[in-house]
Amino acid sequence: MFLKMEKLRRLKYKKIVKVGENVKIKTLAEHEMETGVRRDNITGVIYPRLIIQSVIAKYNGKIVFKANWFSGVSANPYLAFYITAKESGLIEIEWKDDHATTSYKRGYLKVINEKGNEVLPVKYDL
Amino acid sequence: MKFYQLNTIYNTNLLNFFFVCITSLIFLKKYSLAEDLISGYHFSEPSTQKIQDDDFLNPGFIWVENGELLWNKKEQSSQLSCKSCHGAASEMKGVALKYPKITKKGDLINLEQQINICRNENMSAETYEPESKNLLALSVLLYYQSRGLKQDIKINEKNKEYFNLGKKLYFKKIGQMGLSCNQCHDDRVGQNLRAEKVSQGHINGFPSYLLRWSKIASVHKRIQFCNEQARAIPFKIFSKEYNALQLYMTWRGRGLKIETPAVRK
Amino acid sequence: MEKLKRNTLKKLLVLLVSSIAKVSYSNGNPYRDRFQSYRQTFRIEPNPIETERIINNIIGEKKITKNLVDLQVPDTVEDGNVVPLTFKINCSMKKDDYPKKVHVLALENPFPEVAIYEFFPENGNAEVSFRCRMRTSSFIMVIAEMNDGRIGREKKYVDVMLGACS
Repeated sequence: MFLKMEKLRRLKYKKIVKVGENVKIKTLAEHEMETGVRRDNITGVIYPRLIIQSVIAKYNGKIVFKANWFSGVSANPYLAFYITAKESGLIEIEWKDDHATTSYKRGYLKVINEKGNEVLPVKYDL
Repeated sequence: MKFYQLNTIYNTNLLNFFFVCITSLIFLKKYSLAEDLISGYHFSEPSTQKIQDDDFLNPGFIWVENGELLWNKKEQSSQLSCKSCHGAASEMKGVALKYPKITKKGDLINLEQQINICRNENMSAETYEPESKNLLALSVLLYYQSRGLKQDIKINEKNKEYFNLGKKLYFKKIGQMGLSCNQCHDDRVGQNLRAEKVSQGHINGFPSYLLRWSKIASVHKRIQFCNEQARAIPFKIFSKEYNALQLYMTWRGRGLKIETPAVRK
Repeated sequence: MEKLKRNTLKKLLVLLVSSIAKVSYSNGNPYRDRFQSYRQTFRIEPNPIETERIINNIIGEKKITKNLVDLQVPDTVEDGNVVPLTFKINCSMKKDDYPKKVHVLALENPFPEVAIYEFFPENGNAEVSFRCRMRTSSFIMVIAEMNDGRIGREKKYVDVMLGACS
């Protein structure tokens, strides 16, 4: 079976957190980030621009952080930001390209209140 | 005391002082290089050192994770993967320290050449091209397993001839300006070459992530770049001369710990 | 007589063509300057008028409040391809007191804008770190637009040993 070699996307944060705490989320993407300014030494042809244009972070479906990048960001880009934890849920990061190829990375965040119980995103009465 | 008595006392003390100076200088000079080995990590700025220390920030780990995927991938022609013979990648500790080594025919080969030979003969798969992403990913994975171990390669009668060739190439003057490796990397360590500090030229961090090309480069590619900067015609990758040089450089850096994937400029 | 006419016509033509060629091919036009290598002729120069225009578009004529932006960059960087950068905005992130947009500019790059970040009240701290590229040793400027109309700005100088842009 051929393995399709997808590009690496990494996501790291503290998994079990108390309510109201600030969580630092670190992300790393594998991408060449060709600037569109470099030229080949021998022929003089410009390498065409191909960069990651936007990074969107969602927390339980709601947009929490947006980043628009230009050609000044270095290759294999790293990004770190903070969110406050309210309920346990899904953290999803989306990287969008110049050619509109999107890649995702998801993770689950568990949030505990003072008693030690998990705070669920869906509230229901029995 | 009289003058001639003072003179003799002064002379004997002075002579003792000189003898002590000369013997201590000889002692230090003989053993100085072997104890004063400084890895390239200490010649870089603190901002670069921080990137190498953190396993998450280090972009070289992208190649390590790709290497893990390739290690477990089964080839279509023979249904074998690297894992089926060698087991998990974490059991290959200490394997990368023995390279460059001599084959049964008597040639000196690199770790990358050995990977290609293994793929060709045992797995009947296509060989990877030199300096391709797949080959470097596997090479970085194997060197990463030996991280923290000290370089110690043994010179015996089999590779004595290649060791002598490597030593001759290290001291040979090349290029338009007649520069040899030892003029910079032995005599002028720590001085500035335009805006870069000259390091001791050890390869304990290779294959390393070079910031100027934003990717992982192998030892031979880095030596090619160094030769081109000295305005000399470089040899080819996987040539006999570069393998001999790599053997000499691993012997010269014995005692340094392996640091792949390092971050160098 | 005819020979003279032909000769003078030929000479006039040659003079015309050479004068046009001189004007269009010299004067630093890179496609004909074959004694220079490619790297030098196709050099990308930054445009200081353009950067001024971009900064004025963001700030306009509003007043700048002090101590809003806290920028941390290393003083000297080995390679212009990797410049680690951290900025923090001192605000409480409640109601209207959070930054709407933060612009990061490198003043002597061929394209001075590096990144634009948008924040929401769910971020606990307005602190971001990433890695940028710089062509030469120059200033890095961070401009923060808050949601209630205030503007903060901070500028720092970074020494680059080996620039990006090849």
